[in-house]
Amino acid sequence: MVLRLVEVTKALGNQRVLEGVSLEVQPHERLCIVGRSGAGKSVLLRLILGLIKPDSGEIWYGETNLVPLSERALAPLRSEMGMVFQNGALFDFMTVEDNVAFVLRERRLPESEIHQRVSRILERLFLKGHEKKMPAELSGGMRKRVALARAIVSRPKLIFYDEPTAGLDPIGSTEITDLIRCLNVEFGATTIVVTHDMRSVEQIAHQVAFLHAGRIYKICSPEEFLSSKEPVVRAFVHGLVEEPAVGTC
Amino acid sequence: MNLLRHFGKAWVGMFETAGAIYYLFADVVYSIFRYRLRWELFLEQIVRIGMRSQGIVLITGAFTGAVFAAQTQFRFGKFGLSSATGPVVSISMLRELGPVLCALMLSGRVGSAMAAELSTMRVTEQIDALRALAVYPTQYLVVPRFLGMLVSMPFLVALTSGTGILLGYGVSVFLLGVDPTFYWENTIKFTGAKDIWMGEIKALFFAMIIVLISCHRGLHCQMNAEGVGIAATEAMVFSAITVLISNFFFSFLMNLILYS
Repeated sequence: MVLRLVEVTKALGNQRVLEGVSLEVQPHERLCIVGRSGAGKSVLLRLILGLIKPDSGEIWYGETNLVPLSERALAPLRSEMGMVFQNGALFDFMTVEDNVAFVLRERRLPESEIHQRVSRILERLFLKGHEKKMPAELSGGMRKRVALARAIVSRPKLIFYDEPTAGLDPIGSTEITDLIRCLNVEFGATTIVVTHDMRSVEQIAHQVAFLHAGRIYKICSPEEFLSSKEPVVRAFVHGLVEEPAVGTC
Repeated sequence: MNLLRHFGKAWVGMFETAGAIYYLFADVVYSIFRYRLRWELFLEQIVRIGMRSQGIVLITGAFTGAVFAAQTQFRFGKFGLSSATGPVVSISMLRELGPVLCALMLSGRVGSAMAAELSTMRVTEQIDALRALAVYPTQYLVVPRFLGMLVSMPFLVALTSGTGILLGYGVSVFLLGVDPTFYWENTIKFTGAKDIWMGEIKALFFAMIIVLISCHRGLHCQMNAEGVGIAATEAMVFSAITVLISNFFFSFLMNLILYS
């Protein structure tokens, strides 16, 4: 098991976002965490990565509980992980090439190897010819691909994607979804995707974890999830509203 | 009751911030010795802080010295005390006006820029991205700024004081007709190395105050566009106020140390 969460709780201000999340992720698995906006999916990713601390519970990465670790102690473990942020979070003062090479330079790899790895990954993600551009000059889809390149160039064992298809057109969304699946197959990294895009879930996931009311309500295969008869799951998958929405004609 | 609660909250908030700034200072010192220095970022900060601020501090120092010399000469001249104008200008510039005015200008020019830059990085999740890439933000973002400011500030203070003294001389001698030999002799006679030291030591303290407050505001801003603006403004205002208040205590303390 790569990752294990035990009864993790988290409140932001007065609002309790997670009320006891337990979850296990197997090596090389592609897990999609789904749920309504504000359900706490992104918070869960940030907790796993140690960017915020839970109020209670345990987060095990392999044999290590991440919760009591300090920022400095977390660094070596984070170097085995990659994260694609919802808005890319690219360093806006660096070119595309430097953004991708950043983590390799941090690890002090030889410049020749860095150049080789960066070129290969940019070509793989259809970013050849854009190396010298600044993030502000890129489209939304390209920015996501650069963020993806930056996350996987160091060949992490565990990759997180926060809403990778949010804000993209259907073609851009399909491209990113295909890339996530292919990169998982090519690099073998365990992949955790937070999304509410059902098409992505269908194409990416080995397992789907449905986050509802602060807990993992259901965890199953995507087929089972999409055809579930449970009212809460059905409402989420098909976008059904129990009461007429505000503004309904 | 509400008023009491409001004041209580403000005091607690002030102590919390002071504690957080002290913690940031300790973290910076630890990071300087624990991690390798990023020379490229450090030199970049020297260029941004030290070289690009020269114009602004030069103008500040020059015209402060000029007007100070003129006002001193207007008054002292009436009583036949023209001989005192040179020493008064040089000692004031070296001990007080040079360091304080330079620090105030830098808190506006450099401090607010630092806070705006770091807070934008925070709002756009770039600081979280750094952490996710196993890079320690204090080491990457704060240490180069801290060291860059620490190296640049003494030079900038020297430039401020120096141009102030020079233009003070120019105004006194060429515009107000004070005898140049008389002016220089008295200036050199009554200005000691301790006056220079006092200004330079203050420069180092003010450099630390500006960087720590500005970086703290930037790293702890609200997560929205308004937060970036508030962080930049607060960095400038808090740095300037802290410089002015601490200058009072520094002056007394250093007089005790240097002249006792």
